This record gives sequence, C-alpha cells and structure tokens, in this order.
Amino acid sequence: MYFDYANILVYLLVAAGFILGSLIVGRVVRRQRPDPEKLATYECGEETIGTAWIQFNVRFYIIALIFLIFDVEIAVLFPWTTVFRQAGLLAFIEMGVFLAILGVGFAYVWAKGDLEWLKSLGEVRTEPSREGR
Amino acid sequence: MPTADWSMIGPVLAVLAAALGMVALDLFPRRPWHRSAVEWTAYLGLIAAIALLHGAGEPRVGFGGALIADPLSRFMSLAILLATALAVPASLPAIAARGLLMAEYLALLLLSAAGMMLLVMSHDLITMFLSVEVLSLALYVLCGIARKDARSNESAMKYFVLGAFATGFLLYGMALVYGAAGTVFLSGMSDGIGGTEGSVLAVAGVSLIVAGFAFKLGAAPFHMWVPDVYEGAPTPVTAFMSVAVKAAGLGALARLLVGGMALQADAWGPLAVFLAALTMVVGNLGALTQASVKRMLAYSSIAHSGYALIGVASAASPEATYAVAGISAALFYAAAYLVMTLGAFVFLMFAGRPGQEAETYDHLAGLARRRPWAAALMTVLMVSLAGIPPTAGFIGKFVLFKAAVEAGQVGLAVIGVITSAVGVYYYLRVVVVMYMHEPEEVPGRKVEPEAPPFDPNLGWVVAIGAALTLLLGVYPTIFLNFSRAAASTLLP
Amino acid sequence: MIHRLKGIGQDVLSDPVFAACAAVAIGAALLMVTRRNPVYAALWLMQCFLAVAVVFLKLHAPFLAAIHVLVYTGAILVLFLFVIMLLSLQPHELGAEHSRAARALGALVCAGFLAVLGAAALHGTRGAAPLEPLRDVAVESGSKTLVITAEQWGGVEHVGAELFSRFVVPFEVVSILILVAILGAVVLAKRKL
Repeated sequence: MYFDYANILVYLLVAAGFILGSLIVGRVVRRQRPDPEKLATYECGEETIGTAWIQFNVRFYIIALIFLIFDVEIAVLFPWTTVFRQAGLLAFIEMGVFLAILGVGFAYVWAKGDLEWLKSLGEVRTEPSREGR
Repeated sequence: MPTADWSMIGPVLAVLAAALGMVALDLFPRRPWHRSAVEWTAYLGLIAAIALLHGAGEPRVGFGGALIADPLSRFMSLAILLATALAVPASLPAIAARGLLMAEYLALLLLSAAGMMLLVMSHDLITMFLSVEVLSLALYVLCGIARKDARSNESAMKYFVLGAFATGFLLYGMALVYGAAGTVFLSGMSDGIGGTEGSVLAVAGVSLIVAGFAFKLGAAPFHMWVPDVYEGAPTPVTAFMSVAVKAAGLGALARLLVGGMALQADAWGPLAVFLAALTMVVGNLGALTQASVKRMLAYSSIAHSGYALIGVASAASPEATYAVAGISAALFYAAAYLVMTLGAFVFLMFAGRPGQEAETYDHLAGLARRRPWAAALMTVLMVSLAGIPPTAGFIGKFVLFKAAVEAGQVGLAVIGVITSAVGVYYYLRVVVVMYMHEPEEVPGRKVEPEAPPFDPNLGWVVAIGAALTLLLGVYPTIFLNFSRAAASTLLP
Repeated sequence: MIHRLKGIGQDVLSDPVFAACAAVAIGAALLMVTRRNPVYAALWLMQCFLAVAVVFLKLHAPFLAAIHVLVYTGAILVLFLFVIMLLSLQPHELGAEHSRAARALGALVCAGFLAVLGAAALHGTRGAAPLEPLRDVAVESGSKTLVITAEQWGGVEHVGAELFSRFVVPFEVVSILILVAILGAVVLAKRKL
C-alpha cells in the first residue's frame, strides 16, 4: 500500500523543472519589444478598478460551506469503496444511512433555494431600492 | 459490525427520526397544518424516546465498544429528554412572537438532545468527542437563531468562538490520553495508561479534557461566556442549554473520569476540587450584583455547576463507596438542578408578555398580586435553588455535602455551605420583590396592573418544574436509588 | 489493532523528517496567529496543514495524510479565504508587503525543508529506524473477516475496514454532525428569513 514517496519527489521536481525550464527558454529565445499596449495588465479586456479587497457576497460562503460538507462526504465514501466488496450488505446499509441523512440536508438546502444562484441575484438587485424607500 | 444492539440506541433513533422528519416536513409546500405537524412530530419523537428508554439494569456495551447502555446513560437520557420535552412547549410562544424558523429550531433542539444522549452513552473517546460537537454545534445555531436580535447574534458568536476553543482543549486532551493509553475505548483505558507517575502525557491529557468539560459545564475559570450567552440567547434556548448540557456533560465527565480513568484519580481529583471551589465562589458572588434576573440565573447556573462538581471531586476518593456516593450525589443534583432552573428560566417568559420577557427585578415587582399562581410557582423554584427544605435543592445539597465530608473533602463542603448562604440572599430577593414590592413606573416600560396575556403552556412548564422540584424534595428516595444504581455500575 | 498502537510514536521523535515537519508546523502556526494580514495568516495555516500531513505520513497514516491535504488544505482553506473576503478589509489593516530580504529568507527556508523531505524520500520512507513492526490485523466486519496486511496499514482499505466495523457509530454520528452544520449554515447565513 505504501506509496513510493521518492516517486512523488521526482514528479514534483520534474513538474517544477518543466515550468521553470520553459519559462527560461522563452525568456532567452523571445524578442523583447515592449510597448504600452503590451504592458497593459490585460492586453484585451477591462482595466481593473479599485482594489481586489472588496466584500464578497455571503452566497459564496454558503456555497463553499456546502461544498466542504460534501467534500467530507467524499472523503468517507472513498474508503467505503475499497471494503464494500468484502464487507458486503452491512457496509452498504451503513453507507446508505449516512447518505440518507446527508440527503435530507441536501434536499433541505435545495428546497430552501440556497443553490439557486440566479434567483438570489434578483433578490440582491431589488434590495437597495427597498432599503432606499 | 459486532453486536448491533438496536434496543440500546432506540431512544436516540426516535429523537433523530423526529428531527429528520421535521426537516423533511419543511421541504414540502406550506399547508395550514404545517406548524402543528412539526410540533407533533417533536412530541411523538420525544414520547417514543422516553417509552424506549427501558431495559434491565445490567450495563451493555455494544456497537464495537462505542456505546454503552447502563443506569447512568438511562438516568441522564431521561433527564435530557425531560428537559427537551419541556423546552419544546416553552419554545413555541417565543418562536411565534419573534418569528423564528420553527422547523429548523425544533429540529436543532432535538438534534442537540440526540447529541447529548449519545454523549452520555459514549464509551469511546471518538464517539464522545463527536457527540459533544453535535450538541454544541446545534446550540451555537440555536443561540443565534433570533437573527434580527443583536444580543442573540452576540450570544451565538461568543459561544461559538469560546466553544471552539474549548473543543480544541478537549480534542487535544483526548489525543494525549489516547497516546498514553493506546486505546480510545474507556474499557481498558485506565489500565492502558497505568499510573500517572512520570506520565506527562496522561496528566496533561486528563487536565485538558477536564478543562474542556469545565467549559461546557460553565465551571470557573472557564465560565466567562455563560452570563453573556445565557442572557443573549432566546430564553427557551437558555432554559434548555443551561440544564441539558450540564446534565449530559456531567454524565460524560463522570463516565470518563470515574469509569475510564479511575487509576488516574490523583491527576483529576485535585483539578475537580479546584474547579468546584472556585466555581461555587465565582458563581455566587457574581449572582449577587446582577440587576437582571436572567443574568442572575446565569451566574446561579455557574454556581450550581460548582456544587455538582463537589460530587466529582469526592469521587476521586480511593474508597469505592465514597466514590459511588459522590457521583450519585452529583447525578441527583443534576436532576434537581434541571427541574428548578428550567422552570425558573421559563418563568421569565411566563411572567412577561409575548415578545417582552421579565428581565429585571423591577419587572417582577408586585407580581404576586397580579399573578398569584405564577409567583407561588416561582417561589417554590427559588426556595429550591436556595437550598431550603422541603425541596429538591435542599436534598441535593444535603447528599452532596454529606458525600464530600465522607470522602474527606470537608473544605469543599464548608465552601458549599457558606456560598449557599450567600445564594439565599439573591434567590429570596426575587420572592421579596414579587410579594412585597409595589410595581414601579419604570422609564421606558409601562407596567399595567391588569394581568397581561400569557401563554398557558408556559405556565404548565413552570408548574411541572415546580411540582417535580417538590416531588424530588419530598420523595427523594426513588431518585436517589436510581442515581446510586447509576453511580455504582459506573465503577469498574 | 488500536490496543497495540501504544508507543508507536515513540521513536518517531528522533526522526529528522518528523522534527523538521513538527518545527515547520509549530512555526507556521505561530506565524499564522501573529500575522496582521489575514491572507498571509491563511497561507501560513496552509503551510501548517501541509507539515501536519507529512507528520501523518510518518505515523503510518497515508490515507489520512492525503485526506488532510484534500479537505483541510483544499476545502477548508478556501472557506477561510471566503470568510476573509467577507470582511471587507481596508488597506491600512493589511500591513506592508514583505521586503525582498524576507522573500529571500522564505525561499531559503522552503528549499531547506524540501531538501529534508527529499533526502528522507530518497533514503526510504520509514526513516532510518523502523517503527514498531507492523503486523497483519484481522478486522471483523459482519460475518467476514478482513485481513489488513502490514503493507496496507493506515491505507484506504484499513481505514475503510475499521470505519465500517468497529467505528460505525462515530461514522454515523458524523453524518448527523454534518446535517447540523448544513441546517446551521442555512439558518444563520440566509439572506431573507
């Protein structure tokens, strides 16, 4: 079962080396002719306005939290797949109970509309006007 | 799976099924009967749980050693279910008045109760930790469920941040104990650790675990969060958490220390003595100066944690009979504390009007004239909290102090008696205000002489609390036998 | 078997990889709580998680190490960053950027850490002295018995076999815990009530 960790090291070194190598080769080979257009942050597209430190919408957080919850679920689903063949019906039922409880939670999130991005966006748009009145 | 003994976890499954059922009911479009369906699902689950809570007295370990069903777990489960069953009707007026999410509220309440029942049943450190998390997480949310109320938000935030910190202590302690013992299961843990001499790992682990539980119990010096959290949380949540968490935490602490770490008593014994003494002093002195009755009750709940910890401290005695007496007294005290404090917190809602609870002493002035029955019930509860016979509080303190003296903890008993005398002042002040003060014109709050509208359900909850307080005070023998059985099967 | 695990970490203390990772974890944790800029703090937390993952590897828990990287370094840290972005911080609260010297020092430390890990990986994964010899373990699961060989110790099969037999109660309690978390997140973070 043990990984050969040296393989991972080699893999990492090769990956890092590949990127570094191609960047260096690019730097050596390419011509340097800068002009204002090229030096713009985005050659095509909008210039950024203000800082990136703006307040994010709380919906990102809910989505991230729900993602995390299901990420943990996958983490326990994985070992289950390896023993499921030997352990048989019992492990299947155990996982079924686990998934059923999570399913209730998922159905709840779904029914409450926390997964509906567009609908919530509409609510956000109308909110300032309501407050302004 | 080794030994799947379903009857062991029947009560937990019933409560869980009710909680899941409520969430599931919430998925469907609202019908006129929606609210009562949710309400009755909760009651059905709790009634089924209490009905399933039977069985012979022999302790049974099941589910691979993760859970145990013994008199202790049954005693504490009964207490938790009682607190939940009283908290549900007590919550309904607040849910309606403050516009809270009903299904979520009740589901979280029941999930928290399920976590507590699992906690008192857990027989290994992992299950214990996860149960603590289930009950705490649900309570963090319940504290902050009144979203529009800044105090409720503050309460949830403080409880969560400090609670997460305490969880860290608990988990680290459990990890160290596992390292020292080589097992997560309580059976064989004590032998696995061996003596505490030279075992820094075990001593540090036990200390951290005790600190983590002390936080959950609101024992000084880990009590800082209690007044703010209890004051800010919706009152029915306060009533529930102030009693049920303590019952569950005390049960688990007793099982862990006395059942799982009997040989390490020289490590946790002094800690328990220190916590008990400090908690009694801090709680009672803090309660003296409060202007808000809710805050006073919060400090009072700190003080009562201290009294219950006397029992744990006495259980560090090497003599098995004294250890049993100590734990038995602590368990009985937890039950007595449960009925009287739950009743007292619910009384604050009952004495006020929907959406406006009685908070300061002034709000209660002259209540005896307007609402003689309410004042009489509260008087019973206050007399019991003060520890005056013939109430549960008196019997509870009596058996505790007796156990402490027998186990050689005379100092704790003395501190207990002195601080109880201090407590008489602020508990009876409530009674004096209700019976002897004239309702005053308080700025910003109109006091109407006529009886304000109130929810009769709240009155029933207070009445049940007062009746049980008297029952435990007048006929304590049955309950004392029960708690003694729970304590004696606990010892290895 | 859990009961035999006692003392498994005893000689790991003298292991250079463990020492390096423990030092990095503690150092990163200290730096995390002292940083002014929350994004830097989050990155130090990530460093701490990664170092802890290597410690898990040294403790014969490769599956846990992998999950630790996936869940903690992956998901939870992203969640932290979202929380940081919810704060709406002002520039003066963020503090100055690191100087060139600090960056150079950081690169140096990273290189050293990588060297330690690399040397360990090349010299065999278990450290110089073998830990307590790992034995075959029989895990009962229902009517069948799964045999976990020494090679599989701490791997996916081992975790799975234990999780679905002896530790099934904690496993199911986790699902309840997650349900409470879902309910709580929706109740507390909902825009409209």
